[in-house]
Amino acid sequence: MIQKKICMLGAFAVGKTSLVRRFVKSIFDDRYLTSLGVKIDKKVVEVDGQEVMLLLWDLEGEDDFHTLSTSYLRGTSGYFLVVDGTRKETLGVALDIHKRIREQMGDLPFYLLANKSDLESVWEIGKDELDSVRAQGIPVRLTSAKLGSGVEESFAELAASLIADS
Amino acid sequence: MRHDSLNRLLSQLDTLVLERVGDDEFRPLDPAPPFLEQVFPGTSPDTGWNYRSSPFLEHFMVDARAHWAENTDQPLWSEYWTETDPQGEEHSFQAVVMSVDGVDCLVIFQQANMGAERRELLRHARSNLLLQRYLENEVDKRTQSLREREEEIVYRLLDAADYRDEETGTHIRRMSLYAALLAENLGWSSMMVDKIRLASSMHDIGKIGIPDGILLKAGRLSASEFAVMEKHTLIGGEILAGSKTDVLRMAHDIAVAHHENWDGSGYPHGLSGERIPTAARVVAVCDVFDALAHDRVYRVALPLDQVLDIMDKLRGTKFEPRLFDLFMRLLPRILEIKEQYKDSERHRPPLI
Ligand SMILES: Nc1nc2c(ncn2[C@@H]2O[C@H](COP(=O)(O)OP(=O)(O)O)[C@@H](O)[C@H]2O)c(=O)[nH]1
Ligand SMILES: [Fe+2]
Ligand SMILES: [Fe+2]
Ligand SMILES: [Mg+2]
Repeated sequence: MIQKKICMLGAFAVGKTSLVRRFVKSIFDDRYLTSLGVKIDKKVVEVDGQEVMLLLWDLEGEDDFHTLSTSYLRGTSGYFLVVDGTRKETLGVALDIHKRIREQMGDLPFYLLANKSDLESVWEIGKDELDSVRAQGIPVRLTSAKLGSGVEESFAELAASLIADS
Repeated sequence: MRHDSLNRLLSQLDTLVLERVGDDEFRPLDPAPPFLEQVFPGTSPDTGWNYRSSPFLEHFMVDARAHWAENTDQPLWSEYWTETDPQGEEHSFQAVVMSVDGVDCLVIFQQANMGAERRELLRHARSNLLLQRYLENEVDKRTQSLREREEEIVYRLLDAADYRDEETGTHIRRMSLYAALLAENLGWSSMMVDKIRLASSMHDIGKIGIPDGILLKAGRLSASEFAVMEKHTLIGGEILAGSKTDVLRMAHDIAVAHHENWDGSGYPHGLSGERIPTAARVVAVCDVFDALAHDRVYRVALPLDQVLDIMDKLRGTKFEPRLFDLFMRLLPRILEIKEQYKDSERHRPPLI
């Protein structure tokens, strides 16, 4: 079976771990359990009648306490930049990471996930900001790991791009 | 040197030491630790070790091979990583590779405790960052009424900080109302009164950094335990440091200095008199009153006359005389607040 590595990237507490849990196990937990280092989950999806095993690398978030060594990106086929709509600065962190990856690994399929859409009424990141991100050619999807909306679809879309890419 | 570090590695529990015997073959040097078969299925001490069940290790092996090729005794450490066993339990590991006397080694540590501790520390640090950011934001917003914000902040504070001792929500509530009452009667502007009401609620936020064993201890603290306990002032200071908002600056001053004494015998800096920020001097009187007048993990509440007796003896040593006198003048209203915000039964500590 084809295997594809996908990295979950973004600031801490944006919902990387929660998105993987929602996608792989269909569960959500309100508690914030800081991840330590790297955790890899597997899930098989079907793209055009073909089974693909996704290896989801959940990397500890970037913050003052921790910068993940970029060697962990090696071999990745695509990635998600996760942003917490309720925290403006997480968008900057995501775009920064995106820039670093492009410099190092060139163009790979990716999506920017504006997560916590269930809290959209208190988002700090506005529509116009997301529009200007889209205008830079960055594909944006709204997700809620809490409610599950947009999660399945985003993983399916990225998986499809990976297959198309290879 | 080499052997020292190797021995140090070997002396760790829950450690798997593998010698590389072929390009892609590994042999355990030691009796295999219990986690081996559980976490790396398809592996046994006889058949050798199968790292391919772990995508993380398979990935790390690429770096490891390059490292061994350099034949250096410098260790190369992996990130921490997590494996899930067939029962769904998660285990944290860290790996290190090096060459010792020409032998290529791979050592895998199970981070049973170290992992949990580091995780806990990180969680606290990150929750604090989120909290501080939240507070600044919240304080800056002009749309909500101050009252609402205060309620929400105190609620969030308790929730996020989850320090688990006597600092119940009602203690914090009473404390901040006493402090506001004193400030008002010191002639502070209503804006400043609002600020101390909010800022005083964070006086013990640094307790999230104190281990449960000390924080929740029912008996007296030993001298060394007390020294740790005292650190809650400085930890609180760090959490609240560097803010541009007045409220958080005041909260910082209070957190650091609420255990300073008027005569200089307090902690953490032994400040005396006017060198102690006024807000902290106000909080000191209110905090002591409320602590004595209510149950604590280590003792039950004292009757009011006894509380006032003790406090009177601290006038001029612990408390600024002028503030203590003011407190006594305001006592009827203090007691009204006390009556209004009683500890709920649920929060009462066991009376041992
Ligand atoms: N309301 C809401 N909360 C979320 C969502 N996703 C994650 N969270 C919460 O945000 C916090 C951080 O999530 P986590 O997955 O640990 O973030 P990570 O550090 O990026 O892995 C946790 O308290 C989650 O419960 C979401 O879609 N909606
Ligand atoms: Fe204190
Ligand atoms: Fe207190
Ligand atoms: Mg995580």
